Amino acid sequence: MRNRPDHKIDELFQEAFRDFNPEPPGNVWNKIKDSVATDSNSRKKGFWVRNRLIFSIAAAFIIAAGFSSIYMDDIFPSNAKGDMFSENSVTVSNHNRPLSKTEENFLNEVSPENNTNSLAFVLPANTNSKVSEPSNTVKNYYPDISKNGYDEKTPENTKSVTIPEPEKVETVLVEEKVKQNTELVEDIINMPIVENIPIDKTINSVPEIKAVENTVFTAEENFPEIKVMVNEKDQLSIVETDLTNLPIAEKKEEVSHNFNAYFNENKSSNPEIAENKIDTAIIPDIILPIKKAKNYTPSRFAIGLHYTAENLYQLSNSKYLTDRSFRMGGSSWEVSLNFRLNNKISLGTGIGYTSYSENVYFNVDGEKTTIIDSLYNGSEWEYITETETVSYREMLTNNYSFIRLPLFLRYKIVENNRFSLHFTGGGIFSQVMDKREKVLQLPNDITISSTERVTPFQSNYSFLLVTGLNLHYQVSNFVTLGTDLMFKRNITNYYETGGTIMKTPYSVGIRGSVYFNL
Amino acid sequence: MSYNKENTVLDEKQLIKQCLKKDERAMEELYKYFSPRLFGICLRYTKNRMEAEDLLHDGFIRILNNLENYRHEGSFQGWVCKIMVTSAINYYHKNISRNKETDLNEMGSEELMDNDINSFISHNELLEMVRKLPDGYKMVFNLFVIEGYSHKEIAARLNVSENTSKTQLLKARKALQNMIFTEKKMTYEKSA
Repeated sequence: MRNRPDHKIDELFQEAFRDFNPEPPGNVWNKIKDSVATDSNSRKKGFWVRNRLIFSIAAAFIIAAGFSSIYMDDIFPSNAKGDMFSENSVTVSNHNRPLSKTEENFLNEVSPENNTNSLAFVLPANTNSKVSEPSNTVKNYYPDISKNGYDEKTPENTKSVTIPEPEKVETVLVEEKVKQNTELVEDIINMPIVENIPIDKTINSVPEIKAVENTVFTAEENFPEIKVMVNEKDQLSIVETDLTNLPIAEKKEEVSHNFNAYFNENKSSNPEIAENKIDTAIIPDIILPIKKAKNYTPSRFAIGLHYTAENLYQLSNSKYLTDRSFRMGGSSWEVSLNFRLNNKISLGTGIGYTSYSENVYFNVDGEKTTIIDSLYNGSEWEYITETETVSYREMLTNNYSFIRLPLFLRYKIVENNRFSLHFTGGGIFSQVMDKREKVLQLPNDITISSTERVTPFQSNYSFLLVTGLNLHYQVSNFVTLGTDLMFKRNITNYYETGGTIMKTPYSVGIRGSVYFNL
Repeated sequence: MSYNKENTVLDEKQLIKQCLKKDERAMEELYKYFSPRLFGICLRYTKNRMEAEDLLHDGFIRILNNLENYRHEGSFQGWVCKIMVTSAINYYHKNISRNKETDLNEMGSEELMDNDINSFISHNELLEMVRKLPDGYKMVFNLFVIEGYSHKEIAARLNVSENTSKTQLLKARKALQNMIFTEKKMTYEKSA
């Protein structure tokens, strides 16, 4: 589990603590013992209480047996006094030697109250072990410490012991360890001391910043705090975002900020930072203030208000107006509801009111008769007239209003700070709401032979395709302004009759928009 | 005496069995066997010996209480040490609000100054350096460098982010380097 040291300091400390086994003070075990005893006593009490009936019967039996044995001994006396040493036990051969320091310490640990200058072990037969320094291995025995020396009889229930041959202690090459330690320390001393953890200055492109949702970063006095991380080069670098693309349009020099200096500068004015003293307890992620232009996380829904000024152009294929383009000016007001699918795509629909002024041309063909002279023939006057063919054109202006129902899709092409450029595509259903058409007033002195109404518009409804480029500017988290260049094309002819066809008109317009983010 | 190699090995299963029966002698044997190693761990994670003793006490009680959960898989020593490290982390969390700022220039009374003019730094000195680290640095340094945890594991155990763990390690190394440099500089100046 130990990590391979990738730093001299790591190596130095790993080596130092590899075999670091200091002896704890003796009182710790006593405390542990007391804690365990307290715990088991509380369990034992329960045990005795639960089984008090059984123990009561057992105690009565033992007492009775004890009384009976007294009387039995009187009846059947015995001279047998068993030797308290087991036949198979031998005392330690060199029991008279003084204890070594280690053995004395061992005795103190095992049974301080019984510490004497000697100890006796009861060994199995055929063992001729001498007391040796206890090693770190656990001895599977329970030494019986005698108070007065080796030859005191030990109780029969002393367990037989096996003193293992001491392990061969590994020879520690102290000189080698010292040398290794010294070399590491020398290397560490000669390493450059990094005063400040450097900020990663290798950001070549505008990085993406992890944005807190609905946060508006300001480019003013209050620097927002951007989370940074330690990268693989052990440098602090800006965390990349996986939420939104909010590029920084700032200079790289501004990004390179010494966070230590920031803490020192701001701890007095920022209590939260003051609490997180950098040289003490664990602090949250390193927070680095970076100047950043305003940007926003757009909301899901937005209501738009739009005004469009446009010109309708069309070509006529009339026998009178061959390949002549007409222009019809108009304007429209719209309210739209926009739904942002994701950071790139929005859907929109709405309702609009469009008014056009239609120039209606009347081609008038007629004859105009003019009296040029008069003669009296005795009974009546005779008039001499001159007739001329008259052909002229009258223009009237009609006004039409339409209701329009658009449906469109907007795609964000590019975004930079608060500006964004979109492409829009969609369709519009247009229905005439009102027509105000003027009546042609013809002169009385002309005999009208024919008139032909040349009007670019006669259909009551039409379908249009719309495309456009939209430039948006985020004013605030709530308001966005937009300027659109819109191009619309009717997919149905406005007028077709006889030999006159008004080809599908198109319009080009500029639209101004205000969006309110919900 | 015939040497029986089996007797030199800690009879883990037997000892654990006895400890589970609350045999005091068995528990004491267990304690004697592992306490030096565990105390070494405690010294690294605490500021002073008193805290280390408290931690050793709490950690060993936890070991005894969790013995029944030991599955005899892997090294028993490793399992025991892991429990102690967990106790150290819990101890840290419990005392985190009471931790005062450590003066990195303060020299503890228990420190043994190495007056040798060479660059050797003793275990005790290195221990003191680790103990003088601020708690956050100390935890991450011990867990990463000595115990071998990954930053991800450290972050999960200390309830911080991986970034914090990495940063704390950087700072710990920097602080230790400064301490080594300062001490050796003082030593050289003394001997000069």
